[in-house]
Amino acid sequence: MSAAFTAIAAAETKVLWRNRTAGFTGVALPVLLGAFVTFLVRPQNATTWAIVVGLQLTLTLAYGVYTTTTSVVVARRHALVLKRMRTSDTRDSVLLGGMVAPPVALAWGQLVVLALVDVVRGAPVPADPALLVLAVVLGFAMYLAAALATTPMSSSPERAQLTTLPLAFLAMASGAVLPILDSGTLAQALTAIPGAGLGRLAALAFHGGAWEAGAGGFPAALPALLSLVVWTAVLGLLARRFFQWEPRR
Amino acid sequence: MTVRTTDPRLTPPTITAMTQVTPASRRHATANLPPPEDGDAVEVSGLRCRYGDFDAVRGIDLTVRAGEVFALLGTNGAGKTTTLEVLSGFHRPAGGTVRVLGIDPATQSAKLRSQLGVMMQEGGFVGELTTVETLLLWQRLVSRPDDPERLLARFDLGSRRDVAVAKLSGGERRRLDLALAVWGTPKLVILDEPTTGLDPESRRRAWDAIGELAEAGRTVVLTTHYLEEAEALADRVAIMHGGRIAATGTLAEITASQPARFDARIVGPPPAPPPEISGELVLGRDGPDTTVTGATDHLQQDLTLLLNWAERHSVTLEGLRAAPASLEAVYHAVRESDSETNQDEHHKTETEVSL
Repeated sequence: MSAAFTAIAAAETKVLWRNRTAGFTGVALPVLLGAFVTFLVRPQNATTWAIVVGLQLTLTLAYGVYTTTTSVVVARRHALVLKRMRTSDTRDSVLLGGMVAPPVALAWGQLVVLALVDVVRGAPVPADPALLVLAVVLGFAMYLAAALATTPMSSSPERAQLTTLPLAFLAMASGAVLPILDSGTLAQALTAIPGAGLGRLAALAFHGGAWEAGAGGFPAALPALLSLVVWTAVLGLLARRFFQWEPRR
Repeated sequence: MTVRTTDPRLTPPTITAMTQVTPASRRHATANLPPPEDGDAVEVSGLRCRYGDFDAVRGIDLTVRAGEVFALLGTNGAGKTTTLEVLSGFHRPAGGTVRVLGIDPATQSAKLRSQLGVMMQEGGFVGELTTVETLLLWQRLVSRPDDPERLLARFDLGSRRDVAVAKLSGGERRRLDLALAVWGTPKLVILDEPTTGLDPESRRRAWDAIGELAEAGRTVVLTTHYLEEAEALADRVAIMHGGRIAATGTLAEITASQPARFDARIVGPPPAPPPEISGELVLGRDGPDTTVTGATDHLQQDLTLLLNWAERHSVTLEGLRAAPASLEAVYHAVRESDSETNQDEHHKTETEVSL
């Protein structure tokens, strides 16, 4: 890890710490909402725990990673910080990586806290923990790509609060609905929504049978995995094509 | 007879400080330093830039020699900032070729960055970070070594080191901006209006810092609205107007293209018709007195005629002043010339403004 990456990440962490509003919405809110879901649903079995964990993952990633990263990058671009940093001899990937590292690290921390809350509340061990980890990693990648792809549509930090809403809502709605559906046609169709695969994979991780034949004879986890991978690739390409380092004139 | 070499109406009081860093005095100061690198630091040919339908830069040619301070002057919208953005690698030109330190900034900006210091027209700071934190962050982003404490002292920011950048005054932010641009004494420094918003003392410090870069053999390209700044700092100047370069050269070359001016006052009416001179001589009335103003390409010859005439008729030319054309006079001539040209532009496909 380069000194530049660490320095930018440290600076962004300081900013988050010093900005009380951003600190609360970025740090505390996802944890509070995630914990609230546990107390609201009162899960009793693997099925209900799958719903809770799916929602917690979606909330944390959609809010903590997607919305926060979009806001941070748009704010830095708007204030010409990205442009100034590009006058240094640090590579673009390091500049951007250092900037998004704190929200990503924070989201990992929030997931750990929520996992501890769930364990204390009696959550069972998932039948397929590896699938859950894979789902989380893919979720991070997809929401990061989505954040960078959303920044060109967000001309100001205020606008970013609006431009992130559609995807965040879609993801949370599908995250709430998908885990309670079986693998029927509706579930397959909903899995195509960006981020929806996360809830589906969480459900399969708790139920097991992710690699057994599902609809069409394919492994049950395949549509959700494909959805996350394809959306990550599409959003990544969009970000690469349209990302802007300074405000549009 | 008193013949002043500058016109005080065109010269602000800060000119006194200027003498410390004029290009001529800098050359003297650098006599014992190694010579700057040979060749051209910046080569621009036929550069064109567009924003939508607007032609911001309309085919300019520009050369900045290694080790010189080059000033781009012009009105708002003249194309100065766009030109600097192209040189910095921020803006891809619509046409023409650009080489900065031998590198194409549009395609190899990453390679160029390690040799470049840039001060943008606007900040680009994280407001929540303090002054010293901003410098410490920059230390990690730039491979050229430098000392944050040295720069805090150099730009008089020591007392503001722990203040959030958002709480600095506009002038303090500009100084911090300049500190980042000169960090590690880069090979080429690009400064977009470096002293806008600075008080006279801060401006003098900024001039000193730019002078130090030049002493170290670095190349500086700057834009400014302050003509005295260009006079104080620049080895060569280009005047931009309407996306074109209207004049370029050393100050002497540029001002030589405009007539020298002189003026005086005669108590009462003139005792005889004024002498015939090669330039323009105008007598006017100011109450009971007569004003004498003139413009000429042959100052010594025409002044001699005027003084001989005054001697013959026992006339005292009170407050006689004579001066070569100032940069300001050239600047205004460019603007007037360009607006006249624009009136005829529909008759031409391309207009070259020449002085």
